[in-house]
Amino acid sequence: MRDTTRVDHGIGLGIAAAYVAWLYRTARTLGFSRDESFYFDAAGRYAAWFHMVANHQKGATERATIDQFWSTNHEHPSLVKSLFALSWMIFHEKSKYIADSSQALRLPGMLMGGLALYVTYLFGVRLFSRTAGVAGAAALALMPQVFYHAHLACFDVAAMAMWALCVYAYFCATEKRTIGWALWAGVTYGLLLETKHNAWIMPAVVLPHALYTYRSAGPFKGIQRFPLPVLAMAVLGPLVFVGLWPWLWNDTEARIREYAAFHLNHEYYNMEYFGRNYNGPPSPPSYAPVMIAASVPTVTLVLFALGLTGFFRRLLVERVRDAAAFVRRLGPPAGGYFAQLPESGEVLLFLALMAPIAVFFLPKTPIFGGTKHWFPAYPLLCVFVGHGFDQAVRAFRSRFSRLQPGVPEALLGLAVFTAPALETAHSHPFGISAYVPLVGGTRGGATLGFNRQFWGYTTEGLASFFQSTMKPGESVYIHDTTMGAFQALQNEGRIRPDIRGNAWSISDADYAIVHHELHMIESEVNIWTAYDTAHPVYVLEHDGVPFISVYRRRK
Amino acid sequence: MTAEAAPETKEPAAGEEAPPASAAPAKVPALWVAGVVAFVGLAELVLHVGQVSARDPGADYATLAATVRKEQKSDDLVVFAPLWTDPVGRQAFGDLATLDRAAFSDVTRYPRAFEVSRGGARHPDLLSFRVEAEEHAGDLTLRRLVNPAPETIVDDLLRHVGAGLEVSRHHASGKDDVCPFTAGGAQAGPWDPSRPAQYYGCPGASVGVIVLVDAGYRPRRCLFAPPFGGSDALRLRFHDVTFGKAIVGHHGLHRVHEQQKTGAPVSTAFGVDAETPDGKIAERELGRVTHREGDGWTGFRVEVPPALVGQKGDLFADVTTAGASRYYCFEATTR
Repeated sequence: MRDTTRVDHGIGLGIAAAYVAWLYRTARTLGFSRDESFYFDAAGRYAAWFHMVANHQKGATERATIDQFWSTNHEHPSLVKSLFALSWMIFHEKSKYIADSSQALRLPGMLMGGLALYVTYLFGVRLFSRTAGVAGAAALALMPQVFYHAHLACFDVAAMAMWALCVYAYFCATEKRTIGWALWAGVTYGLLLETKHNAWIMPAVVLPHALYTYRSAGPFKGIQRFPLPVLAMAVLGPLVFVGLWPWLWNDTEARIREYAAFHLNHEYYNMEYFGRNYNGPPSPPSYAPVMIAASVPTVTLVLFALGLTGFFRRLLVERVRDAAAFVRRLGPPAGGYFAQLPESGEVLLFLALMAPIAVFFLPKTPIFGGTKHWFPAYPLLCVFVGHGFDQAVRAFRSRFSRLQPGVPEALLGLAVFTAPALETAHSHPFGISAYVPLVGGTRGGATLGFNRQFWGYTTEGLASFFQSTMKPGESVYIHDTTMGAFQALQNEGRIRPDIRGNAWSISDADYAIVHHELHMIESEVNIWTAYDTAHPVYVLEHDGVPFISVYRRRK
Repeated sequence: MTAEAAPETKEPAAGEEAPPASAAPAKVPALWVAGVVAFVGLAELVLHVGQVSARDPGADYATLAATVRKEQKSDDLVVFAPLWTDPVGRQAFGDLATLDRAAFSDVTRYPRAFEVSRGGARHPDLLSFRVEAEEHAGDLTLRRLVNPAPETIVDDLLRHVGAGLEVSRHHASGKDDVCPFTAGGAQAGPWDPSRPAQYYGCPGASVGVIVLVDAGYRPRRCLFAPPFGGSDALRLRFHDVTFGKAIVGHHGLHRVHEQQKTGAPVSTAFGVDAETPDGKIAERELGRVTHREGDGWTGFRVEVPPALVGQKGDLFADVTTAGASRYYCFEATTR
């Protein structure tokens, strides 16, 4: 185990900064999703409350005022939306440093993407090596579906970053055994609770891990022998959660129950999987592993498998040897029974990557989020990826020992990461539809009947069609895009402002669009009936796969 | 309060590799491990570049559309495979992609089909058709397919909508409340079936030709005929129908209703006006077909008495359900 140095923090922050810069530069070509439009709206409400507080306006903390501003979108915690609001206030409203309102709102989401890479790097350095840290962070950055979500003013990449941060803080607390790290673990758990309800499964990680790690005193003495980080998480977590969410300041218990009930009884949205539409239980248990195999670059998964081999050897193979020695009465193997157990850090990594995925083996867990709902697993998965890369480099170096230091890493890095980098760059701005070459890419995903998109975020891709075809003042039925998202596109000049968006009536519009998802054919055939044609005047495609069809109403 | 510091451990200097996570001596993997990793990375790269460099098939679709335009007859089917290419194909084929073809209800009526295939894919409904000819353009293949057992259509009930169809609420007492035929303009939102531009305005329901999504998420052009529920029937009286040996059709519910599996079945009774032995005209039921939720888009066949074959006359269809109204739709032909 090595500690991190200033150089490591510099490298980690450098990787994070490069990623955020990449996200920032590409964000303007990515249209707004349904959920972003709701969070833009919520952030606006929260910003108004922050203004009240900043201006010392009377009554800002009174229940009526809090409810007026914080009831909006209270099905999700407020931390991330508060960051959207503060970013908007600071970088757009006040300093005008960021011209586009949306860019300022999205910035915290991008920074969360950077944070996830930074923590991945640090974890890799602490557990394995600097090479492992860099490779792990690169692997996370070069996952196309993560890249898409990292642009957004949404929660999923924030949940991924906070999950990784919390696991890392907890890990450091178990290693260092200081009060400071234990308190920090508690605070980060509160931040995770305040980010998204993925936090609810964290006990399934830290409790078994604490049992494993604290099973014997080892070299530790006194208070260090007790799992203080777990205690801190149990106490500080809820305090931070409630403290940062004004909506919970009144009727706390009832509102926490309401929040929990919303997610425990969440309705099932539609999701296509192998050509079948799932909008209710039971969910297919194969969904998560198949989607991971189909959407995470294959070489990344190969490195992950390589990185896991040592862990599995210590976890399983050595146990088989122990058992064999016991059964044959040969006496304990060299070093005694249980001599080679997985390291505490490896066990934590494994638990923290499995817990978010394990939920998707439950038949009642909805699958409508596609891959994004198990993103918290990915930073931990990528630490093993980094270790796998490290192993491969060592193998390479052992044969070509005369090569200059860094050359094996560079050569292997090129061989390994060029494909994920190109896949990620190519996926933009159609990231949700990005499937790996092994399954045929975007076309292969369509042929296999995997989800192509959701949230109606691809509408910005029609800007040039609207520009060249629609007459001034004509209207378009915008299908899965919300009016909020459409208006945001118009406010920033991404789509012609004179076009009238229509969110509800196909028959009253001059044009109608349909975002292609399996269940969305319901809207498409309604267009056919109303417009008496099955002939789209334009189809937005990526890699030859249709994303949006545009129909013109017959006059 | 500060706890005791962690026991001192020897840590590598900055830039050094950490010792292996396990206490076991570090084992250097064999060279082939690095080789496999590099091979997978490069193979993925080659595959990716190959997949994204495929040429845009737009011009190829246009080439094949020109061929189909020259050769096609009105009773040819035109389809695109795999199914996800359908929007791209319909855009390229323009007016050749008619509603009848895009939302066909069955393939038995088509003696011939043009299948535009990308990457060699086949349309699942046409696997029994014989390939007569193929033409290639880039990655696309145009197949001219022949139906080994086409059925001849004598009359298509959907073509009677308008002047040749009368719709009414048929009470158990025998009284009919006529639903007026209206060209009131279409009404369509995202989810519930659209009201077409021309429709019969019944109380609480509009009857007309629409495209419905069936339980398998496939579009079906059919006559939307939601029953009223209870004892009253939605009566569709088709005038001057030329009878064949049978009435052959398909029926189904909108996919949402198909999946609810809580509603009552929908029955459609086909009948004609017939002379009784005492010289009066009375209704005579030819047959009744029933659709249950979950059945999906299914076919039906009602035999026609030999005396009627080749004759012209009125055919009525009474659509009923014991429960609440359903988004029911059917198509029928005489064959």
